Amino acid sequence: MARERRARLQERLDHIAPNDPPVQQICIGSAAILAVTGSTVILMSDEEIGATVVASNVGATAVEDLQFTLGEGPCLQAWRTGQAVLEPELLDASAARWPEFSRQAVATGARAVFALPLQLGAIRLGVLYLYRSAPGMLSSEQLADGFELAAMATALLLDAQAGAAQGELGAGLAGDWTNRGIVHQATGMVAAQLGVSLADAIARLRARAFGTGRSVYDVGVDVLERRIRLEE
Amino acid sequence: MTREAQLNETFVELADTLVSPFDVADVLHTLATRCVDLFDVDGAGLVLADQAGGLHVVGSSVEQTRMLELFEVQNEEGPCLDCYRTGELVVEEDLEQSHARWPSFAQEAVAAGFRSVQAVPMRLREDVIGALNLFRQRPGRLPETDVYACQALADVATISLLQDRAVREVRLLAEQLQLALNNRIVIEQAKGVLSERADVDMDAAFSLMRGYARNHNVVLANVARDVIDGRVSASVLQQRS
Repeated sequence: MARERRARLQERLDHIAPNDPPVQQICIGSAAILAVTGSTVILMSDEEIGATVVASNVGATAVEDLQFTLGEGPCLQAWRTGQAVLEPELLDASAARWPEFSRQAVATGARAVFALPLQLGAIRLGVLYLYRSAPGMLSSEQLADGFELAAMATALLLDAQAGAAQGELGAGLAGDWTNRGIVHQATGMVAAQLGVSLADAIARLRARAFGTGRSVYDVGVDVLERRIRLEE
Repeated sequence: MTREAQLNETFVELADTLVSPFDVADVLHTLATRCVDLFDVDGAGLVLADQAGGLHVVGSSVEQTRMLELFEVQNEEGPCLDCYRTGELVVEEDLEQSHARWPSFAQEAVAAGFRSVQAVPMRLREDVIGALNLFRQRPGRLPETDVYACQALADVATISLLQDRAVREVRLLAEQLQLALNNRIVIEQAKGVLSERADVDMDAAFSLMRGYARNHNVVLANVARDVIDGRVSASVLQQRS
């Protein structure tokens, strides 16, 4: 059964995105196959810092930034629990499990969000994030396809890592570090400026972003440009 | 206990490794000793191939040096090597007549008291990982049904071994991926720390850390951790460059 499903999905992926590398293919293909607006393959670090490997569209990239800013959301929940998180309507009272994420995600054009863990037994790598601009649950068939696509992505991520040098990310896994690097650099600067731990520095950047209604990336840029200095 | 019951118990014992904590050495030792218990065999041993194709004894019913040497010599010639290379059952009914086939191995096997030998492949589809060697003190061969039973035991052990290898490889890759991701983050954070402490821009901060890592032959991510924890100061990094 699973083998047939996988073969069928691979056939569709080859048709939808014939020239993309495998992880990109899954990401772009997931959006089409599961009838969602966008999808993202996100790796998660031990410190619960997300790193997008690939996103199908700009709307999908916002989620990593948003969840990092807020420290809450479906991907973090899926990562922590190892279970799929399915939210068909962010405006529902039930989405109150992440009130701030829901509010801001809706503002960026998401109405339904789904996070499927990228895991194999006890091994966890990250999350396959999917969103829809209109409310609506994944059908049971789409959900079954989604789980299989997540399993395929997990295998591909491990394959990509197989060729890497010790301590380096495998080819195609690093994603875009231009923006992400800025947030981490700003974290380091704040830690040095205030003599606090990195975890404290991240918390202060988040608080500043949240308090001013901006993304943690924008606050990071201001810190690096020395336009703002976080107070003790 | 009847032989059938013993055989069934052995299957369960070998297959059990698929669900419970796994000790490779223990499984292989079990397989070798059960072959001697269950069949008309006087000595049994397993060789597994390493990645370069070298054969290593990994389980033997008897831990005598002389017996172990019988496996070692098979890196050059012998039933295990032939079995590993072809993936097929190898039979020699009379070792005293087989000097032409394996000159050194036949001589040593006879000197160790054996007269006949069979080798059963440890194989899953095209993947041959080693061979199970069965020695007898008399000439002749095992009944065909016993050979099937031996092959079935070897198959179960093979699946357990391959499963264990696959799980370990995946776990290792996942750990490496996680480490690499953490390294990337730590290096960026250290750039920020150093930029503030040394009052330099991000590129200069990175160059300082990389120069220090190269001069001291240490990993960049570890320099980054030392910078963050204050074990390596900005002034030390600047002296070096």
